[in-house]
Amino acid sequence: MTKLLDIDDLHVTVDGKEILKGLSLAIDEGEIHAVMGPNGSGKSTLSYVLAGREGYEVTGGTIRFRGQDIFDLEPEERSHLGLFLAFQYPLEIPGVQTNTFLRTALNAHRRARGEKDLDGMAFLKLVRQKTKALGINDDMLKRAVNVGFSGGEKKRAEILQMALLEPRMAILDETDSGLDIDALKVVADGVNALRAPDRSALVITHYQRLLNYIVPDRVHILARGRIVRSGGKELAEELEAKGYQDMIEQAA
Amino acid sequence: MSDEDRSIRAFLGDRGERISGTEADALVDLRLAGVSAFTAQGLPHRKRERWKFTDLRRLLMRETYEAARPAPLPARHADRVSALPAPRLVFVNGVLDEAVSDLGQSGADIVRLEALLGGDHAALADRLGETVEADHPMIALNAAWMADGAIVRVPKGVDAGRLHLVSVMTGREPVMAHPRHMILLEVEARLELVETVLGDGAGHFENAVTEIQVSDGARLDHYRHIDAPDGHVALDHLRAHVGRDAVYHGFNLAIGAGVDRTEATVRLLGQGGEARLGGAYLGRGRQHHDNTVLVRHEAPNCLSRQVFKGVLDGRAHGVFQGKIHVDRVAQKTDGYQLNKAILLSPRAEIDAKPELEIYADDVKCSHGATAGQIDTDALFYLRARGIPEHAARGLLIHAFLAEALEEIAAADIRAQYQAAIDAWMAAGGFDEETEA
Repeated sequence: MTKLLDIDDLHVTVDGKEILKGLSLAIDEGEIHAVMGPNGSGKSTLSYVLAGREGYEVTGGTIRFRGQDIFDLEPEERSHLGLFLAFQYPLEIPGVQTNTFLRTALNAHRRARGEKDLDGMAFLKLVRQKTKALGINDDMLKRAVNVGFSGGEKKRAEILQMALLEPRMAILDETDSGLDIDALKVVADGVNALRAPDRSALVITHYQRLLNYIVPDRVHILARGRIVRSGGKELAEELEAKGYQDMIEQAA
Repeated sequence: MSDEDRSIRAFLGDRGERISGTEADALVDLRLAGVSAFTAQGLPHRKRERWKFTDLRRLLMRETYEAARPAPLPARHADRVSALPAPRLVFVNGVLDEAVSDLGQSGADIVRLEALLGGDHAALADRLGETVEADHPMIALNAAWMADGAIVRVPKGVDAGRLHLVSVMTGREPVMAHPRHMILLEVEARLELVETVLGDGAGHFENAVTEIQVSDGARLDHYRHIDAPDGHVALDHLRAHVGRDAVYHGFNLAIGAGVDRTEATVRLLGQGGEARLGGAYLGRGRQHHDNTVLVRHEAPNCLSRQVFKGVLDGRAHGVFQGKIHVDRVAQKTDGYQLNKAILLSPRAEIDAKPELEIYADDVKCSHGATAGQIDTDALFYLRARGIPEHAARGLLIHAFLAEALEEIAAADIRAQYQAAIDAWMAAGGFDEETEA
């Protein structure tokens, strides 16, 4: 098996404060990993630094994706390489129709691969196929990106974007927060539908609940900027039973 | 010689003697009043409140402008002139070019200002100047020089459809023109007036005055697109009277031009009147765009909206001075005003002065003004989906301007203006800073 994502001894500083303090994590092709951690452990920092957001200063360590150091890559280049971050708080963009946004994004990926743009008709056919498969209402396409969407709709929209862009690695940043069971299933179905021998996912979450639907190969516990324990899916159950406090103290 | 004297000499010369002597015409009184009002003030400059951010003395004294002579329409503008399938009036250097104008089947009665100057249409000539203030220096200068313009009257109850008014300034040397238009809509008449302001060659100076009267129950839709080259100075003074249950609906798209200032004053004089003024201004380099808008509510139950959006790059300078004035009698006024600007470069600048002046006690008025940069969170979101930074910025600017463009009622004009904006965005990088 080859490592799709390989994070080694990663140190990240935000506003002068070190948040990730030597985080190491490797995900093989075809695997789903979960990172669980309490609030303030560095979960969102991990997802943003992977996606290339400004303001997250890498002060040490490496991130290799598909064998390539992504440190110098722009967010769009990381996206073209196959990284996809499903946002915890998807942005509302008034005035940009979801349809336009999705088509622009998809065609940017196609161009990066040296393919021609999809025209409006071909795109519509593809996006309808995806919404149908995910059980998402088409009306969303005509509305401005995430504007006036409920929490559940926003997360569904993220999963639709993921389904269209077919990333090699999907990172779900607390995608389960605030979701009812139906929306949770849409998210899980979306991720499970993408499962393939060469695709992986990183599910970042506070709760074990989502992992009933997206069954991870490995579970890691993140605390104070480091992975303090790793194990199989049973680790999530243990965490649910004992709580973070006990597990972290045990690991320390 | 003082700066005032210099500006008076440069822009008036011996105009006063000539119009009272050998060049006297039917509007000599109006002209002489203009000469004396301008002579009393000279070009307005930054020490005068209304011109604080658009110092015409500084902006106009850089060049020497000759009075424009009639010229044929340059071939390069022919496409723009014929782009709209509508009756059209084409003014080149301020004078009607009959060869390229085409009134076709317009339902409006149209004559030239030139004819009024020659003594024809006395009833119309009497109405000239009704909507303008006597002491405005640039309107006064226009009166001293005005040579031609469109005098449009739409008879009672007639829907005259669309009329395209084109102005082109051309020539190798800088020239000035002072067109004066008058648009009269009689009771329950309708007109859609589409203006295109073009220029080429040297930086020219156009000082237009547009007098508008929208009678009871009438409606004027007025679209204006300034698309002139860098050195061009375009001033437009729009004065509108809006009657009972009448509607004035204007939109001003300013792209290009070295300096443009659109002064619009709309008076709501009858119950139930409505004034909507929208605009978008796009600037880069050292361009200067000024929208100075005053809506006066002088009757009850009127509605007004001002929605302006600006995108400024390089060292461009935007000015928005918007005021809603509500008279004591204008109860139940509904007034709204918004100006938002995005600054794409640290050296771009916006001066916004929103004002409410309210003397009635039962009104609903609100206003807002913002200036800022592109939302970096939204930008990151788009880029995280693989959209390259330049395209992501374009998408966000497009979205930002959409709110203003929605004010345009005519779908084909909205599409045309959108295309002009897209071309502007495609033409330039959104450089954070290129100029030292």
